[in-house]
Amino acid sequence: MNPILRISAARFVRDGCELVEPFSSVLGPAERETVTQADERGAHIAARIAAAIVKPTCGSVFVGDFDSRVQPAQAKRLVGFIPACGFSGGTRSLEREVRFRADVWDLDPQTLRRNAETLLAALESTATPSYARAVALALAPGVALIVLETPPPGVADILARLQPEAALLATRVA
Amino acid sequence: MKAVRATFAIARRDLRPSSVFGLAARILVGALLAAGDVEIGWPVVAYAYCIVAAASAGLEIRVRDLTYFTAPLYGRQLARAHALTASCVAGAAPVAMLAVAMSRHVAWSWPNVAALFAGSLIAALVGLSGTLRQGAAAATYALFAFVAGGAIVLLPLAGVPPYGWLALAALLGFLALRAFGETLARYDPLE
Repeated sequence: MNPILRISAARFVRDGCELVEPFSSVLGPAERETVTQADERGAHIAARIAAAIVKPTCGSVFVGDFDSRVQPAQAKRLVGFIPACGFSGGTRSLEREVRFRADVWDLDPQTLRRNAETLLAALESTATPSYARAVALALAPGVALIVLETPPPGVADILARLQPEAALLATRVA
Repeated sequence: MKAVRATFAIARRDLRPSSVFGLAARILVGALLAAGDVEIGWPVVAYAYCIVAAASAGLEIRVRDLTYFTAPLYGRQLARAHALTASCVAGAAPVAMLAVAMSRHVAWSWPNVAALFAGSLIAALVGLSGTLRQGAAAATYALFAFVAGGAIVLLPLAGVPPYGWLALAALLGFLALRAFGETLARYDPLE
């Protein structure tokens, strides 16, 4: 079976400073891995590299068959990225945010809302409301790869149970 | 159709409450300027206000929101959506001014009106690239937006024929939007 995520010696350098140490990962469906970085910033950037949001300075990242440098839009469609800070939509209601995502991801808003509400209910007791919303919105489209940016303890286990077929990559600080 | 749906969704999201207040303020000030009875120099004030308001319309859009970068879109698609919002906000002041002037039967030269509208759009589109930069680079883009918009407004006053400044406006707008799209595609949201 083809891997969902193939990262080969990805690193990130800015202004001569190595922010992300080289890391590699190959994940198939239902597989999990945690990538460790020296500091929080490195862990955040490593997660964004895996989610095709940030382009690595060296190395390569393939999500499905898509190169994150050449086909970032196709790669991002397969990824549910959950930032460490949680939901970034300010005071926007879940309803509006679901409609926004349905339009941008070109999905059915009713299905997306149902999925988001199911995920929110499952996460109610384990995560802060902001984090639960971020998870629900990121995973509602039904993704092949979940990327968690320095998640709170226990969240990865819950998500692996909720979406058992998705590959899951989390980053953490050493 | 998919791209249009995404473009309008992003444009709607860009129009947060603060943007709507900004839009209302531009309409109000534009209308007040057009309603004023200052005879000497008022066109200069009105034109300068429109260009400054348009440049700030481009600069104030929150394009660094992480949600946009997680969306399955290319930089050029994001750029078009943000440009749509910036252009709508930038056009508010000149349109309000024109509406009030027409209601008062004040004679405005049509080339000047068209140039003011085109200059406002150019200022907003150039200003957009400043949103992805900080400090001196962002200030340089703000200045460039003002100069580019101002140049389009001044050309018809200097006697340049419409096809000349319209062609320049089209070229500047195309280059500004393309540069913004490429900057967005290269941009790495680290924070």
